[in-house]
Amino acid sequence: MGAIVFIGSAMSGSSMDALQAARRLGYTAILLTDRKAFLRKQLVDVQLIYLELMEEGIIRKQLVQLLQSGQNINAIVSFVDPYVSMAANLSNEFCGSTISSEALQLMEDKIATRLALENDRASCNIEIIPLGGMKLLTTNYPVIMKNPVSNGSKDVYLIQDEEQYEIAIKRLKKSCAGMQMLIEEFIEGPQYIIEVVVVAAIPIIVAVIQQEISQDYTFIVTAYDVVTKMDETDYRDLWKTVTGILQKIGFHQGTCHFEMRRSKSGWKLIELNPRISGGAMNRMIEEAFGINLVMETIKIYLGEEPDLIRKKKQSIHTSYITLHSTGVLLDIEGVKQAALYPGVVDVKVKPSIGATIMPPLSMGHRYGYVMAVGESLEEAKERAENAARVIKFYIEPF
Amino acid sequence: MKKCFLCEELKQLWKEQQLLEVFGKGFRFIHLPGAMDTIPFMLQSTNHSDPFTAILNRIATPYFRVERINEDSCIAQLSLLRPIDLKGQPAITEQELYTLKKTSHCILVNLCSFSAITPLSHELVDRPLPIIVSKT
Repeated sequence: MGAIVFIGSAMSGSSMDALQAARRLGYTAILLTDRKAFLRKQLVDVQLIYLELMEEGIIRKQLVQLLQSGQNINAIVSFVDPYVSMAANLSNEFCGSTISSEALQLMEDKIATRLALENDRASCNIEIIPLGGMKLLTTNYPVIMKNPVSNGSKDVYLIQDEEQYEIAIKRLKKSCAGMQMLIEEFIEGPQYIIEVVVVAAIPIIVAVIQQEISQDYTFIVTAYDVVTKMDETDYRDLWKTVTGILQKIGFHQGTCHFEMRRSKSGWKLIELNPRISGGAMNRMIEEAFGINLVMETIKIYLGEEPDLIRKKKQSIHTSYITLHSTGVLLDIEGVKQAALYPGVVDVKVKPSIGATIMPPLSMGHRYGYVMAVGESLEEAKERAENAARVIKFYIEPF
Repeated sequence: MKKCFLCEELKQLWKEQQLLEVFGKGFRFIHLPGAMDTIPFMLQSTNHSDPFTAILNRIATPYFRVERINEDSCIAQLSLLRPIDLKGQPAITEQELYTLKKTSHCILVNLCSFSAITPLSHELVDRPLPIIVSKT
């Protein structure tokens, strides 16, 4: 029996789905992690290896040990930042995969990605500034300010004026001292995730998902809709844009996802990430089209042909739960009830009893979701929203 | 004068409760959340492992507040505290207890017939119920 080594994983969502997918493909799933929480989690059929540090040298040593102990490693994969390109590189070296690891590495750095795509028509105006002691060249507010190596909307700020710029600088100085910051032109328009698989340099758009975003000082995605119908011209433009970008960065084999806005002047790139979106994304795509994207990604790493044929087409809406109170969580009620609502296919609540609850400042402050299917997008949305409202959080305010 | 260990302990608790009642009165610069006038407790009798309970509106409560003690006879007047869970419903088990509400229902007990006292936090009394929020 062969084995697939996973470098890092979140506690739930796409990267956990991947462990299950490996087993379904008939492989032993070996997870290398530095998260102690996994030691308390009873993972069925997963060989867990805890590492104090997830550095490449230590991981290489571990891989050699596994090989020496007789494990037949067929692929090395990661679905979490910042290990995707490292895993792809190791998989190419140890298992003979042909993943575009250099392009994945480029995607892990937002500044490098922007510079590589500077002249692409999907690019927006950018500025790169060292943190602190520098005025913005542009006075064309609003702008977006980003930590180039963050994810999940952490350290991404909407800057409306100079005062907000100064506040953001102050905040970022704590966590990003000595780093460069990325300033991007703010693009108006609806935002989408585009999940893409590239096989032999041919990009295939597996799914387009519209995001509902609450846009205050930071950006929080509060809902996702899998797009089942898109204007043909828009879709053609999107495919051209995606293809152009992937060619420019030399991405020939692997999977990635784009975050793009459909603006008046066409599709504009917000972000490019070297993996499937986290959270409920894999489940959403599977419910909508019958494609298990993490499983098909693993197949690409194994050198097999991915099956990206849509087996069904179903409207899906995932409604994320954010709360606007601060305090200690005492109890959660209504999860089972919500799961029984018509059309609901998945319900998750994240915080444990005793956790601190707060209004959302990053995507990490989303406390759960309800996913529902429907005959139409509207029906799926109504079902998910109604079920989400049934879940009640008991909070003792500070 | 009758004397027993538990009588002495409860007298001390009563003394501290009286001090608590006046503590903070007239403070201008310190804000104390709510009035503090009760040290709730449970009693254990010599021959039972479960705490002593009294019936209040068909629900048993093991939680009491001392109102007065006759020092000669060691007979104490205890008011019954109503146990409430975090949903505002009567708390049946100790695990469900979230807050205690004072009542005017009283009993008289001979303290010398008990073997142990378990004091509880004064913050349990009239503790505000949690807020209930859901996705907006």
